[in-house]
Amino acid sequence: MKTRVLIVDDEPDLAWMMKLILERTARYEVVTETNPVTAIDVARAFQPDIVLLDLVMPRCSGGELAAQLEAALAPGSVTILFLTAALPTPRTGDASRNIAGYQFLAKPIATAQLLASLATASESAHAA
Amino acid sequence: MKQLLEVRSRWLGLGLGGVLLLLAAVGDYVTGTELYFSLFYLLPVATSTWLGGKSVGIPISVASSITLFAVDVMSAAKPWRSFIPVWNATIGFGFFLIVSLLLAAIRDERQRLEQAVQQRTQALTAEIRERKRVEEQLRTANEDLRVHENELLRTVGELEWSHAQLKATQFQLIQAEKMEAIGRLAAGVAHEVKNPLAIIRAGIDYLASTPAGNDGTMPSVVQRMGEAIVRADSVISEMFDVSAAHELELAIEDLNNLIEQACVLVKHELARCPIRLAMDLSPDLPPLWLDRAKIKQVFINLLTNAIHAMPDGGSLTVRTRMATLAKTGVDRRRSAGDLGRFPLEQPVVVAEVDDTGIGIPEDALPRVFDPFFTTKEPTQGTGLGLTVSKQIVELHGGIIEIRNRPEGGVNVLLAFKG
Repeated sequence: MKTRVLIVDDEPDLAWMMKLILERTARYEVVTETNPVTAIDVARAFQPDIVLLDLVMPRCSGGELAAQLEAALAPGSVTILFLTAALPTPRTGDASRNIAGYQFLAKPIATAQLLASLATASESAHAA
Repeated sequence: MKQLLEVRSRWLGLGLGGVLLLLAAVGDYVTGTELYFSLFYLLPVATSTWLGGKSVGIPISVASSITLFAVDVMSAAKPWRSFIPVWNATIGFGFFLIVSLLLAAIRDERQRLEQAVQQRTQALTAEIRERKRVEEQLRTANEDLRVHENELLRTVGELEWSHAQLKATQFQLIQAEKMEAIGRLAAGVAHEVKNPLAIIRAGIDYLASTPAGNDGTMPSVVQRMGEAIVRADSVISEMFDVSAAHELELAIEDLNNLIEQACVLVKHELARCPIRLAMDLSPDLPPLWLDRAKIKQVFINLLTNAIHAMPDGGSLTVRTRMATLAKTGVDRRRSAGDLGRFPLEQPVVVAEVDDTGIGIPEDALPRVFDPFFTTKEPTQGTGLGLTVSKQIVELHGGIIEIRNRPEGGVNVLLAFKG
């Protein structure tokens, strides 16, 4: 069974490219959304296991959207990974950081790291 | 003084009287003539007149005449109706009266003079006192003046000191603000460049793991990577605009002409939506000192913003006019310091760009001039256009303000000193 991933990013090209990369692994079913305002409705319909969420977007911040997503979806059914250009890219080691219980990935992210983070999140999603 | 004079004249009179009395007694004894007359009658009359004036002298004269008559009658042992004593008394009275009146006149004149001198002395004393008072006042005033001068000098010194302090503080503030602005700018640049970099990175990773010629998505991926590079480059280029906006190449320009040129450059964008462009340019504008290229860039930015705000078409109005700055200023939100550059009631040249687009959320209005602040999609703008425009307008000594129009859409107002 494929893991459902919702990508919310106001960069349509980046969202499209991440969708290509993820779908090629044949492990993920991906939907992209560039408008944070309509993302809630999309999430309700799609019921994602993981949301890859951009932090800085016009009209609605990723933080607000995360709270709304968690309220809209069944409790504990979704893992949110933040993807942001506002964080400095770590010079060595893991590209992700944990802030307030959320995993933050810094843009630009290497595909290997993105896939590794998603795999971890996917395992915990299925375990739950 | 007056009392002293009076006392002295009284003693003088008595003294003189005494001496005369003595002389008369001696003369009477030696010559055997009747000097007693002057001794016993004339002297009291004269002395009393001198001392007491007419009012005393005349009764004494009368008394002396009566006494003379009585003595005459008794010493001659003649009948009192005898003619001689009456005659003598009458003559004596007349004589006494003349002496008394003369002396009284001299006394009165003397008193009048004395009084005049006294009055004059008093007046002089008063004048001297007044002069001294004025002199004292002058001295006090001089003293005060010196004190005030010292205070003034001290205040000026303090003012100069606090001015220097203020300048130092201002300099520090400007430095801090600059650092903050640089920090914000750096964060903005980082964010705006990292997004296209993320696209390029993802594209490269995708292509690297794609077998050669095996994937129909490849041209599309490469194309988007190219676009991401252009975007990252344009962010950096606009950064150059921000830093290059500090110097102006000023020349006498026709603002209307520059606006028309800017409109021509966005014409193809207008046609796409479609947007109706209305120009209402006042022919009465004075020529202005402007940087041709930079002002054109400002209007291109404003027109592009307006076009982006009307994706489904609308109307765009560009207007120029002369105006007078009202007391409240062109912009009520603007601080007095900013308005200080515009003298009140002076003519200003105003240019306005109105659109009928989606408007700006009210909470975003205060931030529209912040670097990298944008309400547009990422591909439409970097959030530097208004930052640069404001910088350019302010370098020209002008002001720029943005508000939502009550009937919908946005009004941008530029004002330059006429």
